[in-house]
Amino acid sequence: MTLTFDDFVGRVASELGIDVANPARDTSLRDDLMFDSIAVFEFVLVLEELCGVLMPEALLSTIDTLGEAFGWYEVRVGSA
Amino acid sequence: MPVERDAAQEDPLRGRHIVLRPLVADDYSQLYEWAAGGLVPWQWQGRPIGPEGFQQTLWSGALAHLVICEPTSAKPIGLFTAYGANFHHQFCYVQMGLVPDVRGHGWPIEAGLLGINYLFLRHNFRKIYGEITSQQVGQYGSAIGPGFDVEGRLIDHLFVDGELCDMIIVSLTRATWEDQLRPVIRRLQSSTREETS
Repeated sequence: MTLTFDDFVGRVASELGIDVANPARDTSLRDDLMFDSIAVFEFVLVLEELCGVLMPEALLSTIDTLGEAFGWYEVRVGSA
Repeated sequence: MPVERDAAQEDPLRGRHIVLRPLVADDYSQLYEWAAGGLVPWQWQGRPIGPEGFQQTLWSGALAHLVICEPTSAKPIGLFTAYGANFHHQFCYVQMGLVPDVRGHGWPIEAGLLGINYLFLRHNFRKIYGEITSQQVGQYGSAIGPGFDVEGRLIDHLFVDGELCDMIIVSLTRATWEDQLRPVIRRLQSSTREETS
């Protein structure tokens, strides 16, 4: 079953062991959540696990917000 | 969706998106091309290196060279090197060179994590140092990341691509690797089903 945006954020936050206060689709990983590059990298690993697929490198730099990550999740899980 | 654990977990050189492998003789021509093209460790820059002496230069002071490859095509995309190892004082230095089109993305982070993990698993190092240029901080983004302490900065130390740049000495301790990076590496070495396009 595809997660809702809030469930998606909660699941990712749980996996990463962090709190995400007031998550929104335009919440930036780097600017709002203050993720450094390794945190972003781990976020992508979690995202891949939720989707069950590996993310192509070319897409990596296109994901900066929770909404963009959720969009990728929806496409992958929705098409599975 | 549960992550499928597999044999990759047992191979410290295999990540999700890239693999590292030991350097072999067939790699020398590729490495020489990279060196001639500027994809070289900073130590070599400014020094003429002929093909005859290239292998000796490559191994001078080196502990290990690991070729960074794409997992499916096995295409080499970079080199991770450990050098300056001191087993009495239990430290070594590392550096990484990557082809330009993969810099700035996530997979170079993966290569660095795997290389460092391999060294801490294989050797009794207390600390691993990195010497990076201020230019590389922009290229890799992650060069100074969580767990890495800046130990020193040599101002205008190097002349790279026509510009003076600083050399930054960073370090990672075994304790920090164990506490902060190993969980990421464990996750990294789990596998998923397929790569999407």
